Amino acid sequence: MKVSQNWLTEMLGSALDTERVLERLTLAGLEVDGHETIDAVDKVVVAKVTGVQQHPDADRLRVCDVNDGQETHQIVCGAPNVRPDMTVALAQVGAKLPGGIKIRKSKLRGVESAGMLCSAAELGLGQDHDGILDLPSELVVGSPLHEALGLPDTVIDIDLTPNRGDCFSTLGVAREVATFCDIAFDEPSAEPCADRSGSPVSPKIDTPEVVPVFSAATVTGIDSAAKTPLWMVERLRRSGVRAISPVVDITNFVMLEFGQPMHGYDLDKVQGELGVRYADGEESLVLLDGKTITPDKETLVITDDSGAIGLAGIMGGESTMVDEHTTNVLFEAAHFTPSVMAGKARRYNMHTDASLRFERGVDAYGHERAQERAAQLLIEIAGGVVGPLFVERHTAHLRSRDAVVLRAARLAKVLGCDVASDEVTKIFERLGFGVAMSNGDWHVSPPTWRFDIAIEEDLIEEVARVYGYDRIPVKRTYAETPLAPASEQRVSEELLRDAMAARGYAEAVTYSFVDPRRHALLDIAAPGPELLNPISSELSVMRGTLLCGLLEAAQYNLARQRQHVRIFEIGRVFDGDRETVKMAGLLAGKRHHEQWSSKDSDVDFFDIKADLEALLATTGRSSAVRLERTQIDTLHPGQAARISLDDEDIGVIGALHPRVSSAFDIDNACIVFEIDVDAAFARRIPIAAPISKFPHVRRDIAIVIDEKIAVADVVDTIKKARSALIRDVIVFDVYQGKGIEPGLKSVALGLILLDSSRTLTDDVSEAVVADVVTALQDSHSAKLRE
Amino acid sequence: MQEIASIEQAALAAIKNADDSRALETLRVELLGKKGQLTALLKGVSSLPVDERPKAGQAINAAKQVVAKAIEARRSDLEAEALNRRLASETLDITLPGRGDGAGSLHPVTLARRRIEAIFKGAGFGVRHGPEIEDDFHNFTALNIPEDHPARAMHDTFYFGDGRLLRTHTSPTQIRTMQNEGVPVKVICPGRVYRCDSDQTHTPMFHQVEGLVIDRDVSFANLKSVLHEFVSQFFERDAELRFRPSYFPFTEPSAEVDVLSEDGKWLEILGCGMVHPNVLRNVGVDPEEFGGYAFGLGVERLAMLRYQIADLRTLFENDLRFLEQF
Repeated sequence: MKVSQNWLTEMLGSALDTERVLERLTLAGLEVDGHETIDAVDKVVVAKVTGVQQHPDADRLRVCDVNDGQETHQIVCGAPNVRPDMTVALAQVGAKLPGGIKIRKSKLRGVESAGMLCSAAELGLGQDHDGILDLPSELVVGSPLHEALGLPDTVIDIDLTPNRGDCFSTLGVAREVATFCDIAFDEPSAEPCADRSGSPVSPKIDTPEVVPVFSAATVTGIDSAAKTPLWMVERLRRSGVRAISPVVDITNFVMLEFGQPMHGYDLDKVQGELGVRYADGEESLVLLDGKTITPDKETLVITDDSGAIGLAGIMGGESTMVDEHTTNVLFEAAHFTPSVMAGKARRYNMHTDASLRFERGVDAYGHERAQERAAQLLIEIAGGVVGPLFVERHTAHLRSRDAVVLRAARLAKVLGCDVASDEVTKIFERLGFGVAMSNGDWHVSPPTWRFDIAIEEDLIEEVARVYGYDRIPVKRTYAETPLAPASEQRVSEELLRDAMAARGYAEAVTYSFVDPRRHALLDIAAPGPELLNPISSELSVMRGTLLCGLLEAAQYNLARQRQHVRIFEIGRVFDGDRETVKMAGLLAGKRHHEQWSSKDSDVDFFDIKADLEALLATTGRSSAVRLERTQIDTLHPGQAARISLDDEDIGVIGALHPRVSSAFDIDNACIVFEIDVDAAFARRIPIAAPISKFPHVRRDIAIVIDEKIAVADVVDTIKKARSALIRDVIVFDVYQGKGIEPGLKSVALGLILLDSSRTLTDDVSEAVVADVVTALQDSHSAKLRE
Repeated sequence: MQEIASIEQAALAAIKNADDSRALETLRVELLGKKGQLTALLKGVSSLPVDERPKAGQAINAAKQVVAKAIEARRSDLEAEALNRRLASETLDITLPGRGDGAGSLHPVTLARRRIEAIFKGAGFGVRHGPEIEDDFHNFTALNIPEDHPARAMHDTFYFGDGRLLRTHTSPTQIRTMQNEGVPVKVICPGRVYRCDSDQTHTPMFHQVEGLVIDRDVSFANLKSVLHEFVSQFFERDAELRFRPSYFPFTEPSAEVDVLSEDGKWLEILGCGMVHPNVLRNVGVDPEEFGGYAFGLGVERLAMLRYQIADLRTLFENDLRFLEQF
């Protein structure tokens, strides 16, 4: 909400220091988003056009005589609206306009010109370039323009919290400034109009329980050609509202001044009397913005004999709208309760200045003041006769104004300090609250404009706010604190992050929602639920796999001259109702950074497998991990595996399928894994085994087997053959090529034999090897390679 | 005797000139070997008159020792020289880069979150996690934000078709914690949160750490203390804080907290307040008996201040040139 400092000053009747106001508003909880000072422009004066002649050599230019109170200047002007006897803003020679233009004596198509007649935009007063400013004729010729415009001024932009609907007006902000700058302030009132002999109205309110106040008054016989005065246009502009016509501008002005939304109708277009009721759910209505809507049965409408003519508290209708021919006007100002307004603007997606205020609460006793003000302003600007003021107020349906009790002990306990009793009382008084003491407690009646005071905490907050948060002391808590659990039975996510970083991976954080078309390429997991209102279609489905984001991150980096990408992420994936924490790693491009001592080669399956093995080793359960070949569209059919731990699926590993690579625009080798963190990282608490006193013995064998046989199966067979003595099996060579028949492969294995109770003799070792060879022949048709 | 002296002299000269270990060994054999010159002299002693024998013997043995010592000394010198030559030949350009790829990196959001967690854990706060897809009750209603409350407009919420939503803060985890564990409670709830907003200063996903302390005697003064200590520990300097009145439906009184930057500007860093009695009632806690405070920290905000990251959006671009700086 934008508020003009000059307007505040005028309302408070007290000069204000801008810096202090900004600081006090901030400490009052009215967050100042920014402020803008509009400076006065020197050498721009009010002037009168005394003569207009056509330029001899240019159709579009006029040569004007302009009097600035001292002398008459010849000025060439291109504006179509310049006319004799017009009151204008003259930038004299030497003036420097906000846009940077410096005014000099010049010749335009051979005619001398000593100054410039300005448009609003040229003076930094908005966007209006359509012709020069047409100033009111009553301005004093020769006076500086900034006097007429009320400059300089500072516009303060306040970001109001939803509880402070009362501050959506200059009056509301002025009250806070008065409280926080300690300025005496009397509530403004409006003198009643002396003459109310115009047309009476008697609206009919069907729903007083949600429209406890309704007021209306006519102004008839106004001059339809009247213009909104400059000062009002300026005030509206500084509040971010565009001037339209006197009636509309006045309703906006009164709303900005007092916070009471109003609506002006063309009385001649209203058939019969105004009314308010719930919509019937079928009738439709064309609004001021031209949209047609059919309000539902929970929505209030303003009616006349023709049916619904406005959406109550949100926007008026087209059928009764004020236009350039309007001479008879009806001003309406109502109180629609916050509960009936709640959610309505959102339902129709029409957040208007009125709906915003009604939703948060409008003073139920400000209608007379607003009506008087509006009528008087209209008479001032456009003449006319005011009709009797209709006000129907059902106090029974207004919010309870029962006193709220604040206990002194509670105040001290919540704030953690004692605030002197008379200071608390004074705080409530400064806020305009009614306050009475009883047994040391305060009984506080909030003013009619405050809708946020209903419970004791609301009062504690008010006291704290005015007392000053900075005056509340800083006190340590001393409390018994149980020792924190320190489980060793899981490998923490943090340890995994450190382990990945230590292995050269950079941690990525990618969005949890991804592009469903890209996700569909990854049959590694189904996507999670779809968002109803995504930011964009590329971010519309919850990820079922981290790989979607990681592949995009890899592509982003590869496209930026990265030869070597190692990234990982730990985060949640979504599957219906389930959320699972996963970790994914990705290697792409070259195996190493370009380096003097190693040859360039592309990453492959075994690079990432080593990293995965190192991670899984942190659990102490490596021996229970198995890789099984798998076929999924995401991964290369020959280089993909499911990872299991104690026969439970924990993830996948493999090279990206070329089709997926190209869909993600990745031209480089790319290897990935993804594992379920909860399933994979339960840790076995190590149980120390004694170290054997006897040396181990190594026996190497080389066998030839079918190339399709998995070496892991061969190792299993070996271990099972003599499990008591074989402590480890080292695969130290795998060979295919010269000397080995096609379709077969040679595997060289080191058997580590150990008997922890005695030194192994050669005889025993040979016997073990013989058993192993037999088992390999039986299980895999392996041939010993000589 | 003269012969002994001249042999010794010649021997010492020869030893000095021996320029490798093989030449030295040859000399040793020639002098001290079974058929060596000094050995031969010693053998000749028996042919001398009896009274000269001891003296001659002593002289020869003395010469033998001198020569042996000289040979040893020379041998040790030669070995040292050889080792030095070898080592010299093995000299590396130690400025060449090491083999391997160096360390990876942790995301700045992780670094900041870890700092936050470590500081609060040190003060006895537990760490709780909760679901990112939430229901309306836990994300809004329980937190005193009923349907149609204007404060819902403060949260641009992502919804799913079944009415569930992406949590807009980690406060629902606080509700779940109180439901599951009761009070007193002293926890922080870190995690991803989501708002339907995307521009230069907003990303649709970001991270929060929210804290909650509920006990029998907890005050706003305690809240000021814990936050002052936290911010000071986080930035490793005595931070000056400003508490500004603000509004959150789930706390009252509420405050926004600014920290004074080193260049003298107030920077908004977190929101906090005393837990609203309705929130306590919604989880079955009597607000007359128990009360406390809650606060919410934006992890990205703290990371940006700590590491001087100018643009929020770089945090989620995953550009390695950015990530590798951490």
